[in-house]
Amino acid sequence: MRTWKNRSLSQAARIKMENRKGQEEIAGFVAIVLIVSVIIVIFIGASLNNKSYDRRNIILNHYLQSLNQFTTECSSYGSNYRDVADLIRDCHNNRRCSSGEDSCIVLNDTLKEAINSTLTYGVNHSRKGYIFSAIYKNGVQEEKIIVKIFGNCPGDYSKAEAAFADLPGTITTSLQECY
Amino acid sequence: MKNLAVRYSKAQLKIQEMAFVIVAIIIFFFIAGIFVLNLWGTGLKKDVEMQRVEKAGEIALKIADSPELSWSSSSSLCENCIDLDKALSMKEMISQGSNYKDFWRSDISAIRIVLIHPKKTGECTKFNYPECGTITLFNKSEDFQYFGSYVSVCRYDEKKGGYFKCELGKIEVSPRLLE
Repeated sequence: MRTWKNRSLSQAARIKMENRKGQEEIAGFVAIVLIVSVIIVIFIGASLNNKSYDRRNIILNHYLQSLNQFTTECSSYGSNYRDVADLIRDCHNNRRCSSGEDSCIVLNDTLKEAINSTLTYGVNHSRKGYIFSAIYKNGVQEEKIIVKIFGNCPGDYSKAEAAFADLPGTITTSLQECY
Repeated sequence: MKNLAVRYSKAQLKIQEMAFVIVAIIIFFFIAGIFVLNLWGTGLKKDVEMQRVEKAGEIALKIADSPELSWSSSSSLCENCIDLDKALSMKEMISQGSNYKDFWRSDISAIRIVLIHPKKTGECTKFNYPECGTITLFNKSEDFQYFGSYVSVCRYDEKKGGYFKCELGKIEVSPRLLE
């Protein structure tokens, strides 16, 4: 037989159980909020840390094209003045200018002058440096013709490439813009 | 009876609690969504700006490739090359009121060609050509900003026995066409 005392005790236990259920609900809600917050923070972090470099730097591409077509002071004969692309071929094939100068030296000076006077780079600029290179490829054979570094290349960069024939292989010039 | 009333109030309380939880979750996701959209919008603005600059560069190059300006005297293919002699003639024609004034779209405010290497200064006229640095084909307004791309600027040089010479330059158009 349930006494008054027994009835009170069971009521107290029921109230205690109900309070625990309420606490469980609150705990569940807090857990959901925490999980969703963590997911959102991970998502935002991934978006902000997306450090892919430019897929195509069109302006740099055009600059490299124009640079390759720049007429130099080196002539092969008479008034046949060589452009930078021709000079890279001549340098690769150990040819000299009609004035007797080594084509590689003229190429080096021309590139240095052109890039330094047309592109801005440095510690206090958005572009930290540039790397110009010309590589000869013939099948698996690969040969560096010239590599010139301007400034520093610490991390992110975008790159433009242009290729032309130097039979039996090809020469690929590239200009890397460093951020 | 009293028991029933107590059970109904408990149920109402639970319903109220659930309603508050739902409202709180909706407000939380709303605030989180605004935050994410804000971040996403900032990234979009940067992309749009970059695309506008690239588009302006491409349009400038299309103008450079038009027969009225393109270089066609070289024995080899010359990409993105402007004939400086043609450009000067075009400028003279436009200044004399030729139909070419509106040859390009009416929403282009200005087109100019700038020599960047070797660096030369001054607006080109038939009196100082080719010792000058800029050819402004036309400008319809004083208030504009230029966007463009790199090109090779070529001409026939009578010095050193006469030869075709290409230098580094830029073709720039006004931004009105981007609006």
